[in-house]
Amino acid sequence: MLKDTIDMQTDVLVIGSGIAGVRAAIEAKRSGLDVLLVDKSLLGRASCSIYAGGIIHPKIPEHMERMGFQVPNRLGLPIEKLMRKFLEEGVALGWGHPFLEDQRLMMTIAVELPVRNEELRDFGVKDPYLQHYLGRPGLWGKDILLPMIDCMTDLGVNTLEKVMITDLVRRNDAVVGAVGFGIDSDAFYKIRAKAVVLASGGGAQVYSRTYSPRRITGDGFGLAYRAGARLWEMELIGWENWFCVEPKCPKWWIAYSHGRMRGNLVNKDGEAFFEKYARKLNCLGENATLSPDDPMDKRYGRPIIELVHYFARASAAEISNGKGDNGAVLVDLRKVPEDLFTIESAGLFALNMFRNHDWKRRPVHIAPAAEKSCGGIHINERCESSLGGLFAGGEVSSGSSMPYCLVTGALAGRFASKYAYENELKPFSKVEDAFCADKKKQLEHLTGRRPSKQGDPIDTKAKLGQIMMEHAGVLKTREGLLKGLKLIEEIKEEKLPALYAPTRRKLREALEVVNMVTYSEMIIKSSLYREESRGLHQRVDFPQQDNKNWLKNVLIEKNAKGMSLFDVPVELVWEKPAN
Amino acid sequence: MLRVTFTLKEEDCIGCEKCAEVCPVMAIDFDEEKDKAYFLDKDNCIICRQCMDVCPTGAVFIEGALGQEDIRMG
Repeated sequence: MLKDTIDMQTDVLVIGSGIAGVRAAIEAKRSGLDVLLVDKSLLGRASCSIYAGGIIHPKIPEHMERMGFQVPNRLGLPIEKLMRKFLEEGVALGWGHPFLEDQRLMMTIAVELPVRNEELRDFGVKDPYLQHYLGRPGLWGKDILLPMIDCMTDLGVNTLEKVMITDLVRRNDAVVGAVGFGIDSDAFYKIRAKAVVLASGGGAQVYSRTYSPRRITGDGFGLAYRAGARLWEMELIGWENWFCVEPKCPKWWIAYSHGRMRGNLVNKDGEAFFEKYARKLNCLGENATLSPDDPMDKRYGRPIIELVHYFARASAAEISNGKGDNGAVLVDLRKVPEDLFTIESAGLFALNMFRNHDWKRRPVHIAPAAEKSCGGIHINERCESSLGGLFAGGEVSSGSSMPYCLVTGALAGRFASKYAYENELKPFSKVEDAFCADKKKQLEHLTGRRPSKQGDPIDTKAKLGQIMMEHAGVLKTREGLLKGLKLIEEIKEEKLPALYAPTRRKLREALEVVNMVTYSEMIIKSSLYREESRGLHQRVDFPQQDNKNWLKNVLIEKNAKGMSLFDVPVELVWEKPAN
Repeated sequence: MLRVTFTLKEEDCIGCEKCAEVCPVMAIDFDEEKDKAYFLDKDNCIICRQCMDVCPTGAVFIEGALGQEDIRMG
């Protein structure tokens, strides 16, 4: 295994082929540079983007309006109002951690978004706006991402599929390349680059209940951390309430269809409970009708997309108060006519999911699941990380919605190109060559190790998922987090040293486990650090949002002792919270 | 309830692993000893049809599921 060493060089190296990575590669190629894009799976196919629900919805199909559905018209807002909405709701980063974002970056996104959106037509995307409602069932992002990948390869971007980058190569305070291995080949790759763009996605797979595709394992967080880059806001995980846990059904998100929106969210006693929490959380809209006959957005007076994390919090609280049924709450669809599901792709998707469950007779069990990472590599408004030559875009850099990924992808590509023009490509020094040789040896060591029960990567992934779900879920406590941390330390001591990988596919699994453990530790440590509740980060022992003490970002950096955490105040350059 | 059938024709499978690679939920896995893909857990399939998209020989079929063509405009 790993017989050959392949030396490669490029101006800009992009890691990851979701919408951010592809957009970054297009941007860098258009600047006239050599670009190499590497993905550990097939191009675009293992990304979250291909499953994402389109970019933004400024207009809605006529038939939806007739049925009284509301879709937030964000593009119709003036830039300043759009930016304020991003800050208040955390819309750009994944709904709901008010005022923690870099405001300069948010303003850049608000300004650039309309252009980046419209420009998708140049990449062959037929209609950038209507994907969510009229795309193919279950694969809404496909009609955006696949044309972009074709466009990227037509432009002449070099691509490597099924090559996993395992570490970044550092020279002083800058990143100058990366090493990795081929999953379909016997090759070890040494890649020199003037600039590196990390766009490898988030890591929601660290939770056992998640509907991120299974290769979304936080590799970028591990890569950046080991290279010494700063990460921030790792305590923020996006939670989705509408996740099906029926035994014979796919463990996946139930899409926003007309049918589902007419359903009722109830506890094990059949009581509708969301209202109770919504009043306490003060999240109902002014015109909420609270009538079970209305679709949910009318019922609660706000576009449902803005209520996502409130639903998750309410369900998690209901379950922990003993009102759940087998660790889940129920969505009652019994009175919903089937016709309401069959008028759009999201409804068909839901019907396909319920194929083994008689939803007309029995309610569907649902429970909150991890959807996305909302923290990541610390970047500024130019998508520069704390290391020279390392840029980050998309979910790996702290945001997770398609608008965020699209704009930061373009920004990362643009500023990486600028950096590449200003810096020379030098050969690796002896120290860097030794670093690469050492990394290769580590990989060979993993492949040569004898299989043991302790070191099974797939088993370790499952165990980690359960630990995170139980101890670092929607509602966190100091006690639970400390227990989770202890269990992760045990995995680090007992399981990681025994990891083995008889094949290159298993080697990828094993290295994913290492990155997942690092990411889990980050989530738990920063959750312990932030002693308040804010949007997606909910501490039961510190239930209030504390703007006086916690308008701060929690940062993580590797030092000699291990993981060090510190905080810096948020720069309120444009907007301040009302209280 | 829908009657969905899953078929993976072993004789047409060339062992390229692409379907197993793109499956987001491990409904399809790859048997490295046999060098063939197989359905590991049909119940968990979300019918995203990525496996059908990437299969070079058309060995994977999912039939009976609702698709774009079934959409009725309200």
